[in-house]
Amino acid sequence: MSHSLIEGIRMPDGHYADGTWELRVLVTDLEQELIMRVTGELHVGGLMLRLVEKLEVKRDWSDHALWWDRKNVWLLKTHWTLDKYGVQADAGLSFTPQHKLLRLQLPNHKHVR
Amino acid sequence: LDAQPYCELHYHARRGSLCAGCQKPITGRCISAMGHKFHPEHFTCAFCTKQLNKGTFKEQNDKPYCHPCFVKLFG
Repeated sequence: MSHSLIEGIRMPDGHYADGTWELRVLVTDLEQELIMRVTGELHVGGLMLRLVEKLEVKRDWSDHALWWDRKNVWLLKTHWTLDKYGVQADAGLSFTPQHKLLRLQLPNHKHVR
Repeated sequence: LDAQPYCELHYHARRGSLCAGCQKPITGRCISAMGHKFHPEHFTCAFCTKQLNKGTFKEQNDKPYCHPCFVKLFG
C-alpha cells in the first residue's frame, strides 16, 4: 500500500502525514470544545460515536446532531462521510440538540412556549 | 457458599449476580447479555440511555445500542 511511502513524514504540527486532520467540535450542552482527529472517510455517525465516547458523559444523546455553523446545515445523514459533506479542518461543528425552545408570538400578541 | 458465610455483596460477587451497570446485587428480574448480568433498568443503550430489551439490542465494541441509535451511528 502507498501507506508505507508516507510513513515517517511528519507534518509541522508533529503528527505523521497519515491523511488525518483535526476537527473542532463544540458540545453546546457542556460548553466544551473537543478536538477530534479524523479522516475524510469517517462517517458522521462514527464521529458522533467518538464524540460521545470521548465525553464519557452518560446521558440521552439521541436528540443531538452535528450542526455546521458556517454553512447553516445539519449533518443528519449519518451514513455520509465528512468528505461527502465537504467538511474539512476549518469547518467548526457543533454537537447540539435538534429540538430547542422557541418563543412564538401569536396574532393576538400572546406568547407561547 | 461452600458452607462459608459471606456478606451480601461478596455472596453475589462470587455467584456472578452483580449488575454490570451499577455493581449492586441483582435479586429480582435479571438480564444476561454480552457475558454479564444486568438489572433490567441498567441494561441501556449506550447512546440514548433508554432501557433495552434483550434480543432487540445491537452490540458494538462491548456496548449495547438500541436499533435506531445503532443505525444512526453505524448504519
